[in-house]
Amino acid sequence: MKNFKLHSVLIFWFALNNLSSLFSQSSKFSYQLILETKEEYNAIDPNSLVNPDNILELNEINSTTQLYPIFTLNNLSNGINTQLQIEADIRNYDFEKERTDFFFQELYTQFSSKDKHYWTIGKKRLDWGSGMIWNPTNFFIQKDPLRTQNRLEGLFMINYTYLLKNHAFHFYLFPEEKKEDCSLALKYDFSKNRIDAGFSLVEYKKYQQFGYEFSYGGDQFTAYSEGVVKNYTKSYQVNETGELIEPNSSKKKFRVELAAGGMILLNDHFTFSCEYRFREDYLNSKEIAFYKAQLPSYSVLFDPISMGQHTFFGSMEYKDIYGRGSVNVRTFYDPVSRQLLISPWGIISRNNFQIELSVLFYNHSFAIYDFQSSILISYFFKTKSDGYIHKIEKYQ
Amino acid sequence: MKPIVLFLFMLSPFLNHYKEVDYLELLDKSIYCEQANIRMEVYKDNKEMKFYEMEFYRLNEKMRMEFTAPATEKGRRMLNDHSSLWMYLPRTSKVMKLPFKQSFMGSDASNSDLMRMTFKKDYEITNASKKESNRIELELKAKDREVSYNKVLITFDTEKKVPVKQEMYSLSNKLIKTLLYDKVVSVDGEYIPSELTIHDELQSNSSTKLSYTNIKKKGNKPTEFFTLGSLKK
Repeated sequence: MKNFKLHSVLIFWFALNNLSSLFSQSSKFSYQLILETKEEYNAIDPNSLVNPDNILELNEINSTTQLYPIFTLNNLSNGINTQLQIEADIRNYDFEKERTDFFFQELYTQFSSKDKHYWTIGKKRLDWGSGMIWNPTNFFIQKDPLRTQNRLEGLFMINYTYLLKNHAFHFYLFPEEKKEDCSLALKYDFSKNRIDAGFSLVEYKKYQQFGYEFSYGGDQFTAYSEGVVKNYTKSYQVNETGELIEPNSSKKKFRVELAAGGMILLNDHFTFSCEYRFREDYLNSKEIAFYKAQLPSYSVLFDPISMGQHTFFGSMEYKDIYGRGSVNVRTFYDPVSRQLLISPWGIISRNNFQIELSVLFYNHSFAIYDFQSSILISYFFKTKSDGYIHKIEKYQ
Repeated sequence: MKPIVLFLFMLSPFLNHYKEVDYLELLDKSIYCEQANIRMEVYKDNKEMKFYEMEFYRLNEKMRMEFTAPATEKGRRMLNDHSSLWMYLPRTSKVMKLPFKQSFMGSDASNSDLMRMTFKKDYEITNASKKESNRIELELKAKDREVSYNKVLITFDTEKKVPVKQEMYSLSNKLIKTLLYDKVVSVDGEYIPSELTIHDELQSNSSTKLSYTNIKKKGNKPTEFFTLGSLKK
């Protein structure tokens, strides 16, 4: 199936490219090479209920190095643009034993006409959702709330988008090996007078999801919300008698998940952000008590940030206006499981590199770590932008 | 009584001229271009703190910028459709909505300074006075409180029909920012300043310089290019 997907993208690209080269005016390409290396020190809590005496055999020191080669190739002819986008990830890490993986984060061909019609085939990140930390509408890809800027892996999709002045219509097909595992999605977006709104419908295998997203932008603040009603879950649960329930093994009951938040500029330096998430398919206080009693055997359910139905996020950022640095204190609190996480985080950015320092302090009885600290260095190699690979005048 | 009548009589040709010429429209037109490359340099104590290079696109009140340098910012995009402002982050392929009064990429300009430049829609002329043979000073007042600066003083070159200097004041009549327009070039038979320096008067010893190259008065991007949907593509 992977080969089929790869071949599909390349065949689509070459077919479009050859067709359009008959009328070709120019092709251009750009590439970028990003090297990221992350060193982590984890202070493991020996008294953790989830991981007593480190039964999970976690390392105190972890190291990950990732190389992202990114290529973009564009061909423009008579208002028709074809684009090939490749983003690979070569990853070396030593969590259990040292290993190196290679995979494509993105590999897609996009064909657009008059900036109005877009056809896409290939592996591409799904850009749904208005939430800064959590995106309930983005049913396949969930970003890491502790590092929302991570480069995420795309999904194999066939997509058609039709853009109008204030409206956009999107149709998606997510092919799978078996016909019954394929997913379909429709999305409608609307933008006017500082308001953006969107509605989505997903047919995910044999399940359904109905979603909305909304955002408002003012002079000093922004506000947003997104949510879904869905009849599937990817979460383990604990039932009323304390038994562990696997995802989607119960009846197709519709459940709600939503997020709402905003950002306010306090002055030139300080910005306050906050977000709230509600997940009906997570644990209530009674189920948390069952869960705690069954640890460590129920550790599969563990989420370091929040296992309860309600989670709050708050962040205060200080930005050095003329420099390229910022310091941030992020806090996550789950009042159901009483999980509290405080994370000071700083970033220094220069023309070709970025350094991120972060510490995570956990303050709850079943945390795995007392704290975690990490340094992430990203190096951006010199790039090539918009180099012309050929220029053929029409019918020359 | 007579001197006043004489003074008004002497002034009347100029006042009539000021009413006849739509300076706000001229101002908007003089800084309007639909395509350009911009290099922005941010200085503090005469030292370059950072720079950005962007491709700039505009269609009436809508603007879009695509960052090409430095390498850490390559691929970042910004869009203003005059009512909302978004930033596209290539790492995550996501967009985030931005407040208009936030500093533009850590410079002396706010997002609205650079992404919402329409005098005719936001201001009215309350006074005009001749400074030199080819210079006049216009005093503009904001039409409503939603506009970032309550009062703007503009020195306008009547010969080349371009602004020379622009001072922006707060509601309490405090000078907030000064903009200096420089290096006037001719594009498609019209003059346009190709350099803009912004001084934030509330910050000491800082300035932001924007240099425009490859300026095109008329671009080829359709309305759909300036939409949120297109920004993600």
